[in-house]
Amino acid sequence: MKQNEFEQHVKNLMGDLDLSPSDEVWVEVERRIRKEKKRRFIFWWPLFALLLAGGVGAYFFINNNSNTNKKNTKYITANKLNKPAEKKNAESNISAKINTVKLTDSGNDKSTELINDNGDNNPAPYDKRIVFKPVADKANVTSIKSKPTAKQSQQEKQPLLTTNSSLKSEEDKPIHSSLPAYVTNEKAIITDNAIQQTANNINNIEPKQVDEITSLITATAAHTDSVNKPVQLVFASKKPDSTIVAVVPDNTIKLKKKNNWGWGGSIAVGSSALADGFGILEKSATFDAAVINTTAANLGSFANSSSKRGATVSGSLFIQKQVGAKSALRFAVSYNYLSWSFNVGSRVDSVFATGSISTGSGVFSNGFYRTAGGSGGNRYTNSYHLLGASAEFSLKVFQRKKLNLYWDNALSYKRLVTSNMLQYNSTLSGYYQNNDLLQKNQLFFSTAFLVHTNARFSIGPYVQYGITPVIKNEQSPRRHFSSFGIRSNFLFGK
Amino acid sequence: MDDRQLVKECLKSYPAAQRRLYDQYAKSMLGICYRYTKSIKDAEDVLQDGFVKVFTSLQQYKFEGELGAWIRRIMVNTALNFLKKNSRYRTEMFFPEQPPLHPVADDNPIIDIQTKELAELIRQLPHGYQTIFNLHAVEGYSHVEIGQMLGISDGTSRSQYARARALLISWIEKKTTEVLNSSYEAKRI
Repeated sequence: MKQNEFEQHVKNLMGDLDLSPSDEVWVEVERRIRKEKKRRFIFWWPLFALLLAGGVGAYFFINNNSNTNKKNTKYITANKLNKPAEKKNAESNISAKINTVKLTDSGNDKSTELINDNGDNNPAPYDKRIVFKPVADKANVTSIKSKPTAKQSQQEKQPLLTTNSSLKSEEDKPIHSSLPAYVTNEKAIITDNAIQQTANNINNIEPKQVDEITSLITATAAHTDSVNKPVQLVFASKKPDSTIVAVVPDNTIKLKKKNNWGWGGSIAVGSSALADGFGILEKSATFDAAVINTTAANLGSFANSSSKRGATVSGSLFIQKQVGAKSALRFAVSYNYLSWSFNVGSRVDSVFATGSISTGSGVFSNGFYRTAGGSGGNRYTNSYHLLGASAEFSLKVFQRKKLNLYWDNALSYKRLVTSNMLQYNSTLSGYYQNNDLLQKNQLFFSTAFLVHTNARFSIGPYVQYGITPVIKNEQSPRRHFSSFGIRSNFLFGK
Repeated sequence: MDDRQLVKECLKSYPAAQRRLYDQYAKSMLGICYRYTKSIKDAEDVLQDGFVKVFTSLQQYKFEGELGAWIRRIMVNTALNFLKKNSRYRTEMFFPEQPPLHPVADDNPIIDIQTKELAELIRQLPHGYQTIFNLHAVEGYSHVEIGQMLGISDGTSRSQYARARALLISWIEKKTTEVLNSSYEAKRI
């Protein structure tokens, strides 16, 4: 028990041992925790961006493959022809060997008008031509006609494959489902039955040629505007052992090359400020934005209620790719001007040092502005010029007649090229410029709702927020760029 | 502002709150760091590392127990890590066998000594003794716990502590005698 008394006495005495640390300890602690927070931020954002990109990619991947399990249906996506050489080969095969079919009036079944790639009405002298007629002619949905050449004109008039009569009684059936083939959003869909019928009725066709046929259909479908429209299958054979296939919509005259890429420009104007956290639209968020104290003791003790929002302008050039019927991806390079203003006093042209010059943390300045004082002072505009690049995802969220509403979300990296921002120094009791304290690399998030009045022009409100703090001085309150206004997009290309 | 509110504001990275928490605990925590090290510079290094850990892992504090006790544990662990990593301390952390000490006259002396003086005496102990004495006598860890923390057997911890205690008591007695003698001399003069 006596032994415990000694320990208890020691414990009591040591509990009272208080020592005052030097000021450098806190300065270093604060520097390190800011650095640690920044490190964690830098670590998480790329991960977040990757997850976002992966999620978007997975969505489109799943969407593209959602129908692959349907029975008796063969799907061929345009994406399978990824290699340029493969595409080129397929396209050249089509352009060199295939004439397309124009149905001038499917309801009246005025038969077909054959044109070649040059658009004239002189069909190539194919030996055999097989046409799947439109569903409007229910009595003769599928027919095969002989070649149009004079030599075999007799065969041309004789149908080689007749109607699938079961379709006649299925009035309510979707039009495309009753056809042997149709195109939906860059996919050519051919029923196995249609291919089998073709194989049975075309001379010398081998099962291995089915792949060749479907590849050609795919290449053709990818270059038509026949999304969700019934199509005609045209089989033509120059020689008895060579079968060529084309897919065209019932109102398409010739093969049309489809380009999902476009390019354009964007202009935005509005109001900007520095925000505290996510108080992006609150005026109070900007009131002390000028306070960039260099001493921890005065943190937040100074408020500049004279600060006002400033103008912002941005312009960008972009390329965009249609990645779905309702969505597009956009990549842009941009310039952005941001500003806000507040009152300062008179300027003092005098060299002074801030921070510790000996340790390398200080800086010399050639002049500074006094605080405004009671007289109000002069208005000073802090301006920022940024250049950057962005990735944007655009999604159609509303459609009625000609009015389309898109929701655009963008993540952008911008480099602060130059600024005249003043910073507050409590020791000096004034404002001075030191761009070394600004974060040059900025990450922004923006969101916009754009109304598309036509295919080339859209306009709507936007909001932009700087995820990265403006100031890298670790003792300063965290301030972020924020802006809102009106943005418009113009598409230059098709 | 109570500790709960202070922690919440620190978690939001409010600089003023972080500074307030630091000011509230820095002095007592430096006292702890001081007892484990041999110089005030080392103590401040430990304090700095400890507070960085406090702020970066504050979300792990679940308001179970006092905030001061939680910070204290972090400081002690930081101090132990510092001792392990620092070569000046590491050589004596192997706890070599020491020759037996002469038995002290009184196992439970009257400690007529000031806080700072006692702290100085503790800091004059060999590193291994100093660490174990602090952990057991001041922090209240059992020898089993100390053995786990330092990677030694609880028996080693026990014997090292006994030596540290005996050495410290002898120094306290010597110090007390010196004080009494100087007091007696002063009265005689």
